Amino acid sequence: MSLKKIRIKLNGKEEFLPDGKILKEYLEERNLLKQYYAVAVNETFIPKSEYNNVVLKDQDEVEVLAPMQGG
Amino acid sequence: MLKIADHKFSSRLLLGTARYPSPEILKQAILISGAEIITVSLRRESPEKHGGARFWEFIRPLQKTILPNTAGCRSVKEAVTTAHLSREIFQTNWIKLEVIGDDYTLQPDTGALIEAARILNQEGFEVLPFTTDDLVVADKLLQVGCRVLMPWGSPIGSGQGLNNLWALKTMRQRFPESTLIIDAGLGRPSQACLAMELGFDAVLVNTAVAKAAGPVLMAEAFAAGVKAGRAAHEAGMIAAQEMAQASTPVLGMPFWSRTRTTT
Repeated sequence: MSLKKIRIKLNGKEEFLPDGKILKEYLEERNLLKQYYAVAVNETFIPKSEYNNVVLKDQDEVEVLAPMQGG
Repeated sequence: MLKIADHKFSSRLLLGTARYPSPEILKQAILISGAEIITVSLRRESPEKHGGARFWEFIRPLQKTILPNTAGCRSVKEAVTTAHLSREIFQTNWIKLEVIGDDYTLQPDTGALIEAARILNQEGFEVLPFTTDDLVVADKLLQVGCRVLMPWGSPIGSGQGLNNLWALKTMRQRFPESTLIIDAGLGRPSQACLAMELGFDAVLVNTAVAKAAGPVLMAEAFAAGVKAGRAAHEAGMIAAQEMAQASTPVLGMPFWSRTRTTT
């Protein structure tokens, strides 16, 4: 992993990460690796089985969603 | 029995889970209504609060059939991605598909809705599309594989009831074999009763129960309205007549003579 920083968004909020961060590791660090959460990167669904295969890039937009009330 | 896809349900009342004063009142409303299907949504989770996990842990023990929605989606891509996310979280291929086209009326973008339905049906989802009362749109949704349609009665949360009776009656007559569920805009149990009298298979209610002064009692009232309407539909109601038809037999009426006339 290089020392270069990338800028991403998590649920709309900007964050800076080391370049080359793996999605699974990122979610673990933020306590967002839970059974009832689901993740999309750049509006594309990422299955849990693929978290280890996704390397976050500059300008990526990560959405972590959970069950909520709905009509 | 209500038939949705390959499943049968005793209750013809579906309940939304939003806008209740508290989780406990939501739970009581669900239980007293007898609803077997409840709708849920997905929203961004806060790493600090984990509110979504708490909601799910509260809802799961009720053991209801979960119908996730794509509420708030405004494009085909958003709706399809939300459906994928929902399938992973809720472990169901059912999806109440909403693609909204107008911020004020929350009217569906029917073009995007049809395209999203086509994609999701091909991917194996059981798509329950929230649509308008437009007959042509309904036909296209069926053509792209939907087995259930959810036409609105009126705008979401408006409580206006069934705004376009002619259109809804026409839809029911045109698609006698499809499962049709009135979704959105119901405000009173009498409106739900009317929907059932018209032959619709079920209704989905949220705001009318959640925002009632007494949500639990209102849930019970809606359940009664739905049952009454369905029973009336199955019993076969009389058709309205232009003029009076005496219900008491004329034969043997006292004080009657042939010279007696009415003006």
